[in-house]
Amino acid sequence: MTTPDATPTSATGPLLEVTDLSVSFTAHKQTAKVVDQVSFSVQPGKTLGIVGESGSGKTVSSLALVGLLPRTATITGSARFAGQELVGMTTRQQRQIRGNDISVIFQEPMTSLDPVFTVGNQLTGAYRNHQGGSKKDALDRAEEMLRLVGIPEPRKRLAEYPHAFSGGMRQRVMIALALINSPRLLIADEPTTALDVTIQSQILELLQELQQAMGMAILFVTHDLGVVASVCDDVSVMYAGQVVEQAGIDEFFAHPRHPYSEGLLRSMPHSVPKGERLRMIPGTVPLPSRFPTSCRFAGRCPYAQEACTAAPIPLEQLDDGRVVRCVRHRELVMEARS
Amino acid sequence: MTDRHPDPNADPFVTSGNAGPLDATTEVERSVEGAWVPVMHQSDDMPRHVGFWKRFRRNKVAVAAAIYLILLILAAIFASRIGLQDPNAQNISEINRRPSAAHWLGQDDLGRDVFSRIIYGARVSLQAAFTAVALALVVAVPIGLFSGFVGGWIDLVLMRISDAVQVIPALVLALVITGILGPSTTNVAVALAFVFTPGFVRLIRGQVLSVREETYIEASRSIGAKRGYIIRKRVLHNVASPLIVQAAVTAGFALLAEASLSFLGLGVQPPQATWGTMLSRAFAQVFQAGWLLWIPGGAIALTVLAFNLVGDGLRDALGAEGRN
Amino acid sequence: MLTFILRRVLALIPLLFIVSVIVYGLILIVPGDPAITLAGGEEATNERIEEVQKELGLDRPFLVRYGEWVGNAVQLDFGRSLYSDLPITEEIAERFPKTLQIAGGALAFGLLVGIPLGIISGIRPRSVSDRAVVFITSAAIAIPTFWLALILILQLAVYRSILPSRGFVPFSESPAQWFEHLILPWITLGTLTAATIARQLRGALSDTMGSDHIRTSRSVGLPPVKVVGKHALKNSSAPVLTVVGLQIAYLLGGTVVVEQIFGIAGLGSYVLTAINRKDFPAMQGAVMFIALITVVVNLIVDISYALLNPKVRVE
Repeated sequence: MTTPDATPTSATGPLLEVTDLSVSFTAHKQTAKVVDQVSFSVQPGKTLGIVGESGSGKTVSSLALVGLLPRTATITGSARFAGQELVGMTTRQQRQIRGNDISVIFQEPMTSLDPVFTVGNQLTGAYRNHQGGSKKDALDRAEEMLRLVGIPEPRKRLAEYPHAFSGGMRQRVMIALALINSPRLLIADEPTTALDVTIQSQILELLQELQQAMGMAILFVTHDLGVVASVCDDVSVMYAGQVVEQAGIDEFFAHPRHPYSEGLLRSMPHSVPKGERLRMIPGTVPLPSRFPTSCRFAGRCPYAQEACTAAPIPLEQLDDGRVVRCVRHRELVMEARS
Repeated sequence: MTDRHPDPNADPFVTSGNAGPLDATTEVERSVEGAWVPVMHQSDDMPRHVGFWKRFRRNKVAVAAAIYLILLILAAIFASRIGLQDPNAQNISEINRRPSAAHWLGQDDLGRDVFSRIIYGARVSLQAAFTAVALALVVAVPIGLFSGFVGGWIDLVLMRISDAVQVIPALVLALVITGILGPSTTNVAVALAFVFTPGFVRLIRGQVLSVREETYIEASRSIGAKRGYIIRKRVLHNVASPLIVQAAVTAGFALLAEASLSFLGLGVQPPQATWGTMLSRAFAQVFQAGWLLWIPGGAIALTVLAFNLVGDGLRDALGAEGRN
Repeated sequence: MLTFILRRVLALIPLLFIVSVIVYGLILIVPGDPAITLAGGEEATNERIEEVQKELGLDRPFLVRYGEWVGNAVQLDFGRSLYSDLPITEEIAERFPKTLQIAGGALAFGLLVGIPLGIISGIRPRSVSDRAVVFITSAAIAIPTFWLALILILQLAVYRSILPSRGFVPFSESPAQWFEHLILPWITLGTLTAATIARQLRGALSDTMGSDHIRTSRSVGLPPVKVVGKHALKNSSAPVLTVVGLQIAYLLGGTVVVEQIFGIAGLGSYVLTAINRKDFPAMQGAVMFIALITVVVNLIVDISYALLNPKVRVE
């Protein structure tokens, strides 16, 4: 499932290196910093999971990389992808990368395909937009992709409209669409959240197969730790716009180092013995306009002390490559299960 | 064909975006470019109990329009008592004069005072418009309620008939009926009422149908409330709001239609003044005194606009109930 | 697709049937004795009254008359004009092309102006260009059609001799003059259509632009031209089509006034003249024909819905 050495940096260099990425939105004369100096990296061919609740900034961080945020967003920091700096690119450059070197799949397969065009039309559109070529070549490629994602009778299905496909099938089509130009990085934003559990595992399996086959890296944005456990090599936990922990998958699940991570792990249904109450983290995520300057999790943290609310908490890098934003992480011994 | 009509009066500044999965912790709003964006401002909705009048008053344009209409109506009603000149008094030696101190809006092709003709004309036009709408409502409300409640093939037949009437262009139908009945203000009102009735019926029936589905009627029924009581309370209340809005807007159309019919010679007969006939007379001599076109035409345009603005204002003030 | 069309056409038959009943039934609201009223009222000569009676078959029961009329109408035979004694169908055939050119041109004008305006304001809601479009369209909707015509004539034909104020020149005779004579009627009638189309497209487009599948199109790297021009527009086409369907009735009604103002002998003025002359059969035939046209155009609109949106075909 994971490689033994899950340190964030390796000899060949990361495919995507994000450093101090910040995203602010301005509306009605107010500005809110939704993503605050976030850093992470993704190794070629590996999967990084970005985990957090809604409002953590995980989606915004990933969309910021490819220019899919609205005009009201201001992005600062750095995001180096295969030698290119993504932050500050012109829209034309961003368009060249989208769907080509970096692809995105989203959460809502039922509504993410254009209902008035055939699946084949949409696939060939994405293909020819970047590769050019003849219609026939594009159709062949589209058929190949549909077969790759496990859709039976692909040639026939090319002529059908999205409403002829079920939810799980539509997500497969979305994946085909994202991968048709063989991207090196796939950003998957909660791709299985809206699907049935059985379909979920099918899609996850499919993604892993495709990753193996095509050697692409995946940036997997999700709130579901169960999914992270099954497909990710590394995980980065975000809370209220900041990264609070980063680790390889095994270490993370064995010994989380941030109270929030512990809270998340403990709130998974599997971590509770049968018959006992499910655990949850009390309180809610603060709004971007009201982020505390000190530890943003302190209000909900069972281990909070005075030092936590005194000053901003820096991100500490540990010897084994892990990263933690907590002043008490050395003292606390946390477990995923109770 | 009939169920896909967009609301031609939809507020252009309210665009219904796609509501994504509601976020329990942070409110997010979908921007036009399609990404999630956190909402940072407080919601601007007024709570219901703030009151209809307060909300209406907030819309300055609608209020101005309403004031204009009220003044116009008052002037029309009390036309004979506010010291206007005789609208029919001809003065051949002073034809087509520009506005002057004695004649605020000038004189027409027979030397008559334009200003007083406008006011008296307002009386005729408004009367026709209001009568038409009132008649249409009187007929449409029972039919719409009946059709909505009874359903079945009666409803089907009534809707088909309603469709059929709407297939014939409104002006043509009004023209034909007025022509057959004979040109007069009353007949114009009757013809227009005929044209407007299907629209109202459809509206009322639609409201009845949607209210019928509301579960709270079942709830009321389940606590033993009498059927008649339920109907009166719930249905009429829900129907009233969009009906008022529609009536306001239709009054504007009625005015326009009456002016058109008069322009074509099928409305009020001379020497009676009506805005439509004033326009046609002005047009008859467009090469000599074209400027006379501006006044009755402007009056019509302004008044129709006022009705539309008041209708928009009513819709916004009545809140969600005002929208279909 | 073919079954869809067939079903729609079949649904039209009861509708047209009811319309024919209404149109033919108008004879019943003629005040007084129809024969006398239509013959000219009190001044009518007895011979004329008898003539009218015979022509309209007023001595026979209503249903019989109706049955005959409908039977003929289905073959597009509307009888003879009471006034000119010419076959009504002939008279309609002569006049209809002019009305078609007026209404059709107005519709084209409405689309040519309305669609770009709708796009401009729809893709950037609340921007300066959007507000401008909303303002212009509000003004345009409020202006009465015939007043607009009169003002245009005043400005462009009376004060300055840029365009003719009356008349019709067939295209075959002189394309330039044909255009000159029709441009004002087109603008007059088409302004409301343009404004309504712009409004509806604006609403639909801004809805569509916020949708998930547009996000997908953008995420795949499609250029804005394709995102808007191909995907967004096709998805927003339904309201525009609906407007076209609704506008047909307005346009056909409006030509009555426009033809009067611009002195064009089309179908609209034919209806008006028929009414003034109390030529009942002519009026009935013309109105029935107009209703038929409206129904046919709406059918085309329905079919277009299905062509543009595959989901509709399944219904």
